Amino acid sequence: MNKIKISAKNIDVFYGDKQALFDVSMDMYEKEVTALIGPSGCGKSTFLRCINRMNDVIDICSVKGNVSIDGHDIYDKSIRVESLRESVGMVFQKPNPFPKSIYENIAYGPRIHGIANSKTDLDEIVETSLQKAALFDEVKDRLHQPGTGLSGGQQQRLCIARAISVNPEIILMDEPCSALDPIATAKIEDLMSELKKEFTIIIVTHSMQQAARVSKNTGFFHLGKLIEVDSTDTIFSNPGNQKTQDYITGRFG
Amino acid sequence: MFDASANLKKRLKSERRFQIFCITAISFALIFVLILFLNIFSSGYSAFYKTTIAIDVDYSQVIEDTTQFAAMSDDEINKLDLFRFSKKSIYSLFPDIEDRKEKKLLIRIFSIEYEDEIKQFLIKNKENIKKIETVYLTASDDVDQVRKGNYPRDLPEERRRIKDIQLEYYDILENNGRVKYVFNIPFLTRGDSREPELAGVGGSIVGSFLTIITVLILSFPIGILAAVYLQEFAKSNRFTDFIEININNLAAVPSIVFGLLGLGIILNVFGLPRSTPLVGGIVLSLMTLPTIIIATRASLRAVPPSIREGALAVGATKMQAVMHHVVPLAMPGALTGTIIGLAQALGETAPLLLIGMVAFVVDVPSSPLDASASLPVQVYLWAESAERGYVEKTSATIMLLLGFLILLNLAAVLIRRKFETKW
Amino acid sequence: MMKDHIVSAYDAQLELVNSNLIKMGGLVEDQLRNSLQSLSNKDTSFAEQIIFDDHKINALEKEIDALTYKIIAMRQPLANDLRVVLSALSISNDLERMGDHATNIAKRVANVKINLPDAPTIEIVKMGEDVQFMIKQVLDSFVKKSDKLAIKAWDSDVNIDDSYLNIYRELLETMAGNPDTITGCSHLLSIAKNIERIGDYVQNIAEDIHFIVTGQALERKSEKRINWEEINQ
Repeated sequence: MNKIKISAKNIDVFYGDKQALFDVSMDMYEKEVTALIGPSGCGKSTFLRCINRMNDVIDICSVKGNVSIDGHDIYDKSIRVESLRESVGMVFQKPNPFPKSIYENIAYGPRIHGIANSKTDLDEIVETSLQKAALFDEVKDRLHQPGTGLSGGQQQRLCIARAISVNPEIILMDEPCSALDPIATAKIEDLMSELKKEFTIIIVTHSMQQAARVSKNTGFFHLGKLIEVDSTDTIFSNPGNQKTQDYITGRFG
Repeated sequence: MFDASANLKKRLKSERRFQIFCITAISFALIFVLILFLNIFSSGYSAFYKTTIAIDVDYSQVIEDTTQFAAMSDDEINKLDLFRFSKKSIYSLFPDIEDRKEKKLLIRIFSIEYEDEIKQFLIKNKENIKKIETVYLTASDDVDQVRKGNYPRDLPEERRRIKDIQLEYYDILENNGRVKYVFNIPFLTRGDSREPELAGVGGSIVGSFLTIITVLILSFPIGILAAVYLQEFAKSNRFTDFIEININNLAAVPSIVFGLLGLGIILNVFGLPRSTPLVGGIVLSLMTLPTIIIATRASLRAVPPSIREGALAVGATKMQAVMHHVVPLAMPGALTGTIIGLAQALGETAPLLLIGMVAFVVDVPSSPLDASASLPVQVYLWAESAERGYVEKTSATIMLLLGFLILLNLAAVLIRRKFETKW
Repeated sequence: MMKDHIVSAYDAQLELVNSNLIKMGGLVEDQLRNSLQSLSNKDTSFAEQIIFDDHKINALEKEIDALTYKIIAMRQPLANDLRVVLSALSISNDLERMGDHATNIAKRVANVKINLPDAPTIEIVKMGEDVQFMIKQVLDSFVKKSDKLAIKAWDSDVNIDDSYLNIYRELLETMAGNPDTITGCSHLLSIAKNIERIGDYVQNIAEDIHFIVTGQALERKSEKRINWEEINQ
């Protein structure tokens, strides 16, 4: 088993008066895919967004507890959220490329973080990011055309390339395939098995088959609580908790 | 099986009825617009033409050797007293007239600036002036209206301003081919005048333009910055709610109130020069700001949050996310709002009346600090004047105003079209 | 009690697998009973009926197979559903084999024209009745989803093995004592083997049921093992 990369301890999240997460503690391991499953509104996306502090964006949202990456508390005052997000990339449910060229989409991150020193550096980052996202061959002749002109699956891979461009260690994926067709989904899943060699991946998904296919460990959330976390094999063949069993076999509600 | 039931027939019928109502409503609107346009165009288009009458001017009577004019400066020519000479030139049309009264009536078929027109011809052609030149002088308003058919000839003489004898002169000149109907360039370039045939909208066009530029310079940056701050950065609390409500209220405040504000504060407290496009621009900016802020906020709101999140997720600061991604996407909407606000300002009359832009200004303003009129105020001024000549000029000014408004709205549509949502 | 699926058609399909398995088990039980009866009564009139019933068992197996394929393709079952579906495949397969063995007994009885020795026959029928009880037990455990009953059925097989060993020895002795009985005893030996095999299949089914219920493979050793040295003496 790889070493623990992300460790969440006793996380409570509140939206105003409403509590969205209750005392969630979970460890996620380096260079593995960890899947978070659960019915809508169970808090799995909220939990995911605690890891790169995307919840900070929401005024009324407050997070209690402790999330540490490689032993550093990411909610510490000394941590700049911008540099945290440089190492913790995120891919969203709906592909959201900037309405700019493919090149600009990827160059944006390196540019604001000052990663690239020259135009050639930047070109190289764009190319390697696209290659890692298995998109380069499809778009190399139209790097300067709008990213929004790509197909849904390509757009999502573009977003993955954008996340990779700033050399993160962790990639968070929030239902990355929910807007894609099965072929595009298969390509992303294939890509994930490649990416996990280099990155720690946390994926929120509604497709249990997807969680079963791509992840090594799976956590099941229900009503803001982490019900069960175990190896994916166990969760999908013989889960320990009746709620998990009911959910994955389609008996919920 | 698929026969329409009674209920369905009823529903279809009511749908048809609804459509008929809608089409009627649209037709009414179109008909009113059409009537308005027809009315304005039919009475206004003739203002773009004027009647001129050719007279023969013997410039050698001023200076024997007409080549000497070339050596004179424009100022020197302007200082020449050509009053008697000009009169004589006109009398030469009808050398038989002896009666002083009739001579006076003859002079009156020309606009009062005949002397100046003869001088201007001289200045323009001083390099190679011939001894005798044919100069076209602007006809008086009365003659102009006769030529345009707006002035009924069959009224009894005592009830019209133009006398029988003048009509006679005019007819003779017409028959001699001395009357020419030309495009009225001075109408577009000159300032206002007490003589309808000499009055132009040039002054008010420039005044309006300077006012609008002032509005643009003031309200666009302020409006955009305010909107971006309120929409993207301000925490939502009672204070921002209060500001928001007030901005919405401001948009609904009657424009004359802004005029009072301008009068009370900008003129009386800050002492800025009255009747100027600067003050007009400031007052209209106050009116335009809420429109721009509301439109910009709406288009900022319309930018999907996913774009912001995308930028934040690669580690952009909030300001970078907003300035690099959100604002550029909201720009078309903001620009559209601005242009609509400008169009509103362009057509606004009431506040300008209060800050003195209703003054009679002959000169074309050259800076925002010169007293000036503006197009809608010019309409207001001329619509009040009694002379027949101002009626067509009022309509023509409205035509110009409508033309500018349509151009602005067209620009708004084009901008929207060009930057159509692309996320 | 297991909750219903959100998709009720899924429940209906699983229920159909369940009921077909129970039906099939019942048929196999009858099959063995009839075979044993024809053996003990030397009555060949059952044979035709038994062979016909075997076709019914085979048809049911095919039906269950088709249904499980369909469920896997349509529903992608997970966890306990997956175990039920996969086990159904192997249980139906085992039941079909059990049916075959039972049918073989009847066929043999019908086709053997000589008299079978009485004493071992009685022993064999008794062993057959024990196996029949095991079948009943394992079917019960399936209906009740009880791993305890399944383990009980599994454990009973030791007795069958014992009985088989005894019968084996007895038949050897009979044959050694009277060479005229060799033919008859050989037939009986085969019949006993058939019955012993059925017991083994019951054990398989018990393992499947245990897997369905607990999600764990049944890891159990027979307390007694066949003592081959004793046999080789």
